[in-house]
Order: sequence, then C-alpha cells, then structure tokens
Amino acid sequence: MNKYILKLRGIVEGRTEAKLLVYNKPLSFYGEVDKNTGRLIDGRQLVNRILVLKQTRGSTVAPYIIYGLAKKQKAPQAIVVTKAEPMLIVGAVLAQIPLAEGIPPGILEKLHDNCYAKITINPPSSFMKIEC
Amino acid sequence: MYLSKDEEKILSGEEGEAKQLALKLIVKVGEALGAPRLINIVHAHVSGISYDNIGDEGLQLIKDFWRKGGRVSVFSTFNPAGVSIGVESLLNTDKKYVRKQLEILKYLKLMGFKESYTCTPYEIREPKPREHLAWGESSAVAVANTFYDAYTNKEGGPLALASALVGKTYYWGLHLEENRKPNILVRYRASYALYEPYSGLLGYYLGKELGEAVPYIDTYFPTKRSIIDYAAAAASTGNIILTRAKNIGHYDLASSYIDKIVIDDDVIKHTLDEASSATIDEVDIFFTGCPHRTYIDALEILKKLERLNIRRLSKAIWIAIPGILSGKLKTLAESLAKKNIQILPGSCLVVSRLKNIVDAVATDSLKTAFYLPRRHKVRVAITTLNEFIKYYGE
Repeated sequence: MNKYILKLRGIVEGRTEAKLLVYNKPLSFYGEVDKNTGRLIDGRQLVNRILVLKQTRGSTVAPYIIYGLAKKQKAPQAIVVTKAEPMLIVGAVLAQIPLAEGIPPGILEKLHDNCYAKITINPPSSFMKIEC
Repeated sequence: MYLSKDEEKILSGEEGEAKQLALKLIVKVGEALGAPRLINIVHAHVSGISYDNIGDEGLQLIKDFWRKGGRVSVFSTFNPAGVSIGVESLLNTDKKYVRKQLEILKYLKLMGFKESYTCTPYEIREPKPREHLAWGESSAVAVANTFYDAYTNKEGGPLALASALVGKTYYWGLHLEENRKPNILVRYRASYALYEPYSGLLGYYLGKELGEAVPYIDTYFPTKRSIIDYAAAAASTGNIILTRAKNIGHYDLASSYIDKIVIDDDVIKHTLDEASSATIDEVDIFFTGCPHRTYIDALEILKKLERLNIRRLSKAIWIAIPGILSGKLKTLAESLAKKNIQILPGSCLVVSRLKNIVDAVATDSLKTAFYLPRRHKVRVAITTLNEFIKYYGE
C-alpha cells in the first residue's frame, strides 16, 4: 500500500474523507458533467468522492453547474487540483465544496479511483492523507 | 490579502449573508490570483443572465442571493436577456423559457439593478478615465478599457454580481496601470479603412492570432462604432480586452515592443473567408446590434430607406437595441415593421434560442459571426447594412 501525505494550499474550508475520483484530462463542468445526475461523460459519479484532477476549463457557466450539483446533492465531497482557476473557485465557494490546490502532477498520475483520502482544509493551509 | 476593517466586517457576516458570500467569492478568487487587496468600483455590469445560458441553476443562485438580502451597493446594470421584453418576438416561442427568463430579471430588479437589458452599459453611464469597474460582458469590458480608458477585468460567472452587492473587486489585472501598456505592435498595412465590417474583421483576426495581449495598432479608428465592433470581435475570438491605437490612449511608440505583426489585404480577405459560412442570397435575415445599436441607429435606418425610396425589404432586418419596448421606441418599431424591420429590444441573437427560427443570417457583426455557428449552428454571411438593403430592397 502506498501512502502520501500532502501539504496543499486550502481555498475553501472543510474536512472530509472519501474514495478518490481521479480525472486525467482538463475538466469542463459545462458539457462534461451531467448537471442533473452528477455523472462525468465517462459515466463515473462525482457524489461521495473527492475529485482529484490537474485543472478545470473555466466556462463562465461552470459556477452555476457546480452550485446546482450541490443543491441536488450530486456534488463531490471535495475537489483537489494542481492549480485552481477562478470559475472553479467561484463554484466551490457558492456550493460550499472544500477546495484545495497544489497537488503535484507527479503524484496525481500515481493515484486511482480505489485510493482513499482524508483531507482537512483550513485556508490557507490544507493537509491530505492518501492511501492507495 | 490585505482587508480593511470594513471589509473584515462584511466577511464576518455583520452586513448580512448575501454580502458575506459575495465578498468571500471576490476575496477567494483574488487570493488565488495573487491580488494584494480589494478596490472600490463605481459600476457593476452583470452578464450571464440569459436563461438559455445559466439555466435553472443560475436562476436559483440569483434568487438565493436576493433571498439572503442581497441589494446592490453601487450603480449596477445587466446584460441582454434571452427574450425581448414588451414585444411578441419571433424569439419568444417557448412559454416556460420566457417565464424563467422573466423570473431571473425579476430578482435582479428586486436587488436594485437598473432595468437596463444592454450589452452597451457605457451608453447608460459613460465611464470616466481611470474609474474602476467590475463588468462581465466581454465586449463592454473591451470598450470600457479601450475607448474610455476605464479599468476593468472581464468578470466571469457570478463575480460581477458579487461586485454589485459589495461595490468592490480584487485589485489585479487591468486595474493595475503596469498591465495596461501595449505589449505587441500591430502594423496595419491593409487598404481598407476600418469601417464595418473591416474593424470587426481586424478584431476577429487579432483575437484568434494573439489570444491574450494588449495590442497597439498603428492606425486610426474612424468612429466610436468602429472601435466597438473591433473590440467585441477581439474579445470573442480571443481575450483582448484592451487595445491602443493612434487615436486611442496615450502611449508613445518609442517604448519597446516585444513583438510585431503585420496586417495586409490578404489577412483581411482570409479572415473574411474564414468567418463566412453563407452567401447573401442564402440568408433569412440581416442582423445588426451585437453589440447593441442605439435608438438613433434604428431611426437612421428608417430614414435611409425613406431616402432611397424603398417601400419594403423582401427579407427582414433585425436590430437589437437596449431596454424594453415602450414610449418612442414603440412608435419607431411600428414604422420599421412596415418596412419589414424588427426591433429586438433588450435581447440579442447570441444569447437567444434560435433553433428552427433561422438557418442563415447576414450580419455586420463579427462577434455574431463567431458565436452563431458555434452556439446555434446558424450559418453566417458577413456584409453591411447598405449591401443588404441594395440586395433586398423593393
């Protein structure tokens, strides 16, 4: 079993634990996430997962979609990215989804959906423990 | 980020939940971008209010801001909606869609927004040089920075709404003088004067070619409208929201530019080909007003037809202008309708639902030419109003 302990930059506060959902491409919430079911275009569900990815593509509609997912309880438990762009931040603040940035791409590529993580975000600091 | 005592109070919720959430949005984004502090603004302009764009989630969010006590704290305006207000328009086909759009507008008005329905907020309140704004509509942002030398970034999503509620934005990007210097020299060597559609074509090309830049163009823009058309196109195909030219801004050419680009006739012709997907004989209508035309523009068109003794056009002209259909605009619209010209008050084709309404559109707007094929699968012919009238006038 591999263990990672990461120090991240916290943006939206919160504390949670869940299995990861690792997405390897830049994600656009507008067009690549079903806003009613919270499913990605590849069929995977965001709910009850910590979404981990390199970056999102910032459509100005994205904040509304993230907000809508949270209202329907289809949003992920937390989001962790390499670098957060403004529309993801706006969406996460509105939807009260814990958000942190700074996960190294080198570690990101070693993660998969069966990894389990605990994350504590207390901006500007954040710690994440991952077991794979 | 440094916050003043008053800002700390807002953030701790002392001035209510809506302001707290709004300021949190601005602070979080500002911190991520590295902004050192906030800055007061004098005018917020919110885009992204078309139901077709933001859907039920957007409606819910705007309603929630109102419910939490959100009220504007500076002069605030909003963009065109997906339907025309006060008119039985061809665009207003789906009743549920119209009802939802009206609901979005209701909550904006309840929060104290001026009933503007415009993508040209500078025609309602002209910005002064060096004033700080928080605007969302890309074409308006580009005109504010370029023509008025006011300071605004392009505030996406609900950020401009948040700025309307707290009267502040993050001090970053084009709010800082150091980021407003031209960083590329554009040598304009084409033979076309920058009247429409050529200023739009120049913007279309530069946006695509440069992406994000502050160009200095070594030529003159002949009219304010030519700057508007240029700016709207460059902010659509790329992220150019500030441009300098011989008669825009106060920069001297002696400063060193990191790069140069030459625009000749071939570039313009090639851009025209690239942006065109229909010919004038294939189109259903001519559309002008992206960015919005003015009441005076619409009146000029009527006068022009009368001068040319044109009784009626065999294909319609649609003109998007700000506001709602009432007063003198209503009278003008009735006269125009007799010539087969329709006013679209407070709306525009880009943010509306166009499926099964039109298949191909002629336009003088390069912003329209960029978005209609992408958003609505509508083909576009680029032409001028005069050419269209010549072609379809009876």
